[in-house]
Amino acid sequence: VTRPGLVIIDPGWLSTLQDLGRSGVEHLGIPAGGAADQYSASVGNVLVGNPRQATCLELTAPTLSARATRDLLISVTGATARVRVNGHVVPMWTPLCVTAGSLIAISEVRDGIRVYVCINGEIESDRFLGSAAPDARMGFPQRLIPGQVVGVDTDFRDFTHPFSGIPLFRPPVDIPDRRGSTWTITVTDGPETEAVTGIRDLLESATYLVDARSDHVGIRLEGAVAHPDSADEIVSHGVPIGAVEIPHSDELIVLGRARSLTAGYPIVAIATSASLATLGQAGPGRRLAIRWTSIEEAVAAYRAQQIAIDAAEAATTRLFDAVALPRRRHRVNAEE
Amino acid sequence: MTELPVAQRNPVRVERSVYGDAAIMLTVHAADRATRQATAQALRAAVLEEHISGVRDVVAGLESLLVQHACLDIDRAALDRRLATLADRAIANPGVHRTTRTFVVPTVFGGGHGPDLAEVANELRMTPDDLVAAFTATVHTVDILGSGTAPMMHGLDLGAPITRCATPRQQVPAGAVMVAGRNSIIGPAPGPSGWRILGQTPLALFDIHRDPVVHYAPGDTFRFAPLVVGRWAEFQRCLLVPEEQL
Repeated sequence: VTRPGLVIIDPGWLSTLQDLGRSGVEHLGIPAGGAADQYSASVGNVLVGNPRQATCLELTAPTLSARATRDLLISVTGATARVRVNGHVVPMWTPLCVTAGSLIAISEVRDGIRVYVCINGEIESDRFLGSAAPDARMGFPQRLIPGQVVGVDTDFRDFTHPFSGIPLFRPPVDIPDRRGSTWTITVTDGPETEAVTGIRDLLESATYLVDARSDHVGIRLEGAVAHPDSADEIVSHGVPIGAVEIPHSDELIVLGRARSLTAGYPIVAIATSASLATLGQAGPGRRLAIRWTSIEEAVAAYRAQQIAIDAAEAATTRLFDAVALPRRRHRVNAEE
Repeated sequence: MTELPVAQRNPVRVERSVYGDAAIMLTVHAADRATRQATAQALRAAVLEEHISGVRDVVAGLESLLVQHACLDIDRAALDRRLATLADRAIANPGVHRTTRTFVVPTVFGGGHGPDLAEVANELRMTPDDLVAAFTATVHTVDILGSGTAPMMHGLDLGAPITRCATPRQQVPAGAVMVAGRNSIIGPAPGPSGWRILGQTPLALFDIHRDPVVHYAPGDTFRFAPLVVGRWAEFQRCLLVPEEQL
């Protein structure tokens, strides 16, 4: 029997259950998978008092409407969207109290393509290798359909602002600024960077257009490319998330979290961990500029992102504990 | 002329290279392919068994191992030293060191289930029946688990390498039994592929609701048994389990 939680009225183009993905599974040929924008999914969960790897909803190029069938504490993060509860526009990147019966509607998404809805407590979901993240190839699509009941196990009850009815407090959150038509991603050297004459200057001088054939498997980029000087065949090998491949055709592919795990295409650069959230928001028509960086700077940039999540978590924890709102601690069997 | 010691005549070396801010690639260098592959297999097992803190995932290639680690709070130099030690161990003791299992895969060859059988046989100047006989007489050994848990295997020797499809297929059905080069593979899930399809098995290779999801691992061996299409339903949706468990 499914608990009350949310009833999906319109899941939009593609909405799924999601989390941060799997670890310790890629030696089986199963990719890590998980939220394309891990920063937004993590912060969203932190804002509702959850561990960052808790199950959430991921909306792609979204509109979504759903009705709460119990009191819920939610957050909406990711690409900028118009979020309404019972017709009233409410802020993103903050905890929101939603009373039973309320209609939640998300629309008008811009500056990115993916929106995350996180809910205090535990969203009920099947799991595959310990994770709610979809793996369509393995027959685990996790796609939300109209009328679907998403059960939520939560201790949250009826906590509203005495005057406005709408919450509450705004924990400090570092909200990514993705206004502007061209986004910059940073990359470090790949194994074939040296084998393609002029590729360093080429990648930095061009801008790249995200093609429609882009998803969690990878993002295809139209723009200037060059091919290796010699046609030596590369023995197929493991490929990391963020690898920038040049296939035989004149395009770039940046591999995503649901990538095929081995390939033999030249890898001319590898996107930094700090750039992956931005890549996860890059939809068709987006322009990307590429800048080279060092491993040290890449690690520092990623550390800054994680410190921002830690800060949001610390502030939320203090606020929740001060007003006795329920928090979920890490599951005993959680990864990490 | 004095003969050089074996190690100098045929040096095996594992190159460690930085692969972005969260991975190290281990690539085996050796004169012959068999040594490279056996060393890579030992390396995969060694790194997996070591359960190194901060290592999130490894991906095996035929001659390499991608070690993906946490981006933060990891001592990269210490990890690199540890991988160097494991690499030395793999070089000293290549191959698979565990009790391996055998799997028998009932397969419908040719026709709609194996659309490339006749053409591949023709390229090899054999009859389709001879190709099936050679394929089913072969012991196929799993090298790596490819995309979607696909067992990629060696052992097939048909004289010449088999070419790939000129245009990859967009959607190959689950259970497709395929060949390319000197390798064989089974596609556990539907998906695109450029491999040539000789047949199809009605068995499921994995079950996402079970632990383990798949029963086979590198080093295990597969044999293929011809199945008449009329018996397809008997095996449909049954899970492939080792012969020892049947």
